[in-house]
Amino acid sequence: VQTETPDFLALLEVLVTHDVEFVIVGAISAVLQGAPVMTFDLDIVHRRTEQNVARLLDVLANLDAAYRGHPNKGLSPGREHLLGPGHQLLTTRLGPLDLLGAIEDGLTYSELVESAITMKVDEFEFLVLPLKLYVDLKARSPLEKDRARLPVLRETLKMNLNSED
Amino acid sequence: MADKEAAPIERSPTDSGVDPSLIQWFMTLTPSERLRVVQNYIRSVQKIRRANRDT
Repeated sequence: VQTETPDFLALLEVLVTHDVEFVIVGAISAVLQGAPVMTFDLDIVHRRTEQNVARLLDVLANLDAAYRGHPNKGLSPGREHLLGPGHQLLTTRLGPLDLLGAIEDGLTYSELVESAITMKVDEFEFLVLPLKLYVDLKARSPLEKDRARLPVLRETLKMNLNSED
Repeated sequence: MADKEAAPIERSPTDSGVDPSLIQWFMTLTPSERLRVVQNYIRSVQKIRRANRDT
C-alpha cells in the first residue's frame, strides 16, 4: 500500500484540499520550524467533529489508509475511532500518517488551535504546534526517544527566538 | 602563511553536543525545503538498506 518514501508535502496537501481541520504536531512540526531532526511519519491532531471526521474518512479511503503492522491488512479506522481520543497509526500510499485524537496533557484540536501557528508551505497554509510547546511537552516525556531530541530542539528554539529579536 | 580570512572557521558543539551550524543551515531553508531534506534522507537510508539487503 505504502510508497517507498513518504511524501509529507503531498500528504498535507491532500488533507488541506479536502478541508480537513488539523494541527501538525510531532517531529514534522519541529522540522517545519527549523529543527534538523529525523522522522518517518506525519503526526496530526484532527478536529473531532462529525463533519471533519467524515472529510478525514474520505481522505483515508483516497489514500488507501490501513493500520500499520495490523495482522488484518487493509483494516482502516472507522468514524467512531476518529471521534475518540485514541491514536490511529496508519500507512497510506503517501507515507505513514498518525491521527491523534489527543496528545500529552490530553490536548485536543480545540485546545491546540488556540496556540497553533500558521505556516505557509508552498501555496498551502497549515496550523502547526509551536516549537516552544513541543519542547515543553517533550521535556516531560518519560520516553527516551523524546528526551534524546531535546538538546537539538532547545538549541533550535533558542536560535528561533534570537532571530526574532 | 595562510590568509587569515581564508582560514576555516572552527566551531565547537554546544555543551549538549549540538552542532549549531547545522541548525543555522537548516533555518536558512524554507519549510517545504526542510520537509524535502527529511524525505531525501529517508530515501537515502532506504537505498543503502536495499543495497545491503540485495548483496
